[in-house]
Amino acid sequence: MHSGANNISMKLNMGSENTQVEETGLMHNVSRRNFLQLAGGIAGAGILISSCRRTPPDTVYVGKGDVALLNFLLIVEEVLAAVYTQANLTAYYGLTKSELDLLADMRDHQYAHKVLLKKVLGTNAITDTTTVLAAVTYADKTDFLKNSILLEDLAVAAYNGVAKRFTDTNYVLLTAKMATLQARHAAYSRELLAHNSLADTVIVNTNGLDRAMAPIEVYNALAPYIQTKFDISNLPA
Amino acid sequence: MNFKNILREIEQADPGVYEKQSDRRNLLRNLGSKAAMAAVPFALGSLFTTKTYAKTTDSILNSLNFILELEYFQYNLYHTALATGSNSTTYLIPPADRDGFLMIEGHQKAHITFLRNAIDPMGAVPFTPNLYTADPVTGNPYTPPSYDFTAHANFRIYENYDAFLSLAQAFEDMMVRAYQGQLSNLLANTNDILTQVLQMSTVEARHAAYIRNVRRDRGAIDIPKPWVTLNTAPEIRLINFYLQEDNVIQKGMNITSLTDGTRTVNATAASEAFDEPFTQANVTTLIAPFLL
Repeated sequence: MHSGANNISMKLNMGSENTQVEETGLMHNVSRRNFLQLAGGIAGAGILISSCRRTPPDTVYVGKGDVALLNFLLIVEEVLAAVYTQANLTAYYGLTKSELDLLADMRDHQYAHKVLLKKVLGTNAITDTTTVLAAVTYADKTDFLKNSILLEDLAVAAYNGVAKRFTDTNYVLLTAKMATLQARHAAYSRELLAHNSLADTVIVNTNGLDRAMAPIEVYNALAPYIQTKFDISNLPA
Repeated sequence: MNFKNILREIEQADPGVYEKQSDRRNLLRNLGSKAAMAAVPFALGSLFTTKTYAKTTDSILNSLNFILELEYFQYNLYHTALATGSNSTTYLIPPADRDGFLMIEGHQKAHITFLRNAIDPMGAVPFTPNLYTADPVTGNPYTPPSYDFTAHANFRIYENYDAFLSLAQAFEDMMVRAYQGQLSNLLANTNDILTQVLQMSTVEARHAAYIRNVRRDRGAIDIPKPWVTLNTAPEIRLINFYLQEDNVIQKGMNITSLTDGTRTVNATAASEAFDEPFTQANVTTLIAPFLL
């Protein structure tokens, strides 16, 4: 577990960081608990609340065919859910009331997607994914938003890419409803970072098409955010 | 009688006509751009005297042409709005937001070209707006005589930016739903068109989120979020654009009752987390007041 050492550093640095945070005068509606965690984040603790639950098995098999594809989407959603859960606990400096409200929404949407995919998968669902929250500096608005954008754009590409690989086409109709929500998230985070940047020419090509990526490409791009080792040998290419 | 009406009449007389080999289609296209209109019906008459061709891929072509119709609709809305006003103080779309709307307009234009190029090799005539008179292949998709986005002065969108934004939001949210409503016709996945339609649908969702966020920042009274909350509309009279968006049942399961043991989400978040499809009939009804 990584959380122990970081929690210690958070506590050790609390005194000196308190003053600095208060002086910025930028905090809105952040509870005392969040405030303390935020202070810890500034102290350099990348992982504040580890998503580790138990010692994970060495590898988790994601299955094959549609099960593998749904588990793959579940991994994507687990990462996003973990990021927004942490972001709500230790929000960035300068967070406005509006941004706080929408940050909570984003967390809830990812949670809804996650529990639905788990329910659909039933006993085939992978065990909880252990994520690497140190990949994001939550106290820093720009760093958080850049990670949010990367992950949301990637989620869009994952959903768009997975559709044609499903054997049961009912999953296409279901996941399309989730894909457009990820695109709404992506555009919102992009707008927060810079107005009029809802997309760019890398994400949306000259045909006006958003990205569609093969599952393995998305999985590799997610590597910095995932600690759990997955066996994806039967994930449809 | 314009070219499109002529095509419609031919189709009615000979329903398989849009599925013929491309050489005949090219002939039609050339006629549309070059021949005198009065002579066209006679010239066409000699082309289609038999029905030896098979009826294929009807549902895919219908879906793509329907989406193309909507993309023309959207492009014309944005192109007209961006052209309203002549300088930075009189622009309908103010300087701060123009880059965003120019990007959106560009996406819609790209979708038109992409869809026309997808439909054409599949053996159908790509949709062209009613009252469109330019060459459908080489001409600009801008065709103001085909639309009245004020619906006979009921929507004052060219005089008031907020009124424009309200309607534009409803249309973009409708686009997301319209795309999803067509997916069931595309599951055969011919030539990756399913994936490409999905790739366009997420771009429409980005547009919707952008417009919603602009409205949110301007203090719109419905306090829009970048996502659709229950069936909340920007104006009461646009409520039909949001019917069934408050759905919280997915795959027969109520999202608000699902949990991993830690928590649940409320109906508001459950409705926001999923966009909902619209049938072609739904969408056709919604856009009818804005067509000429």
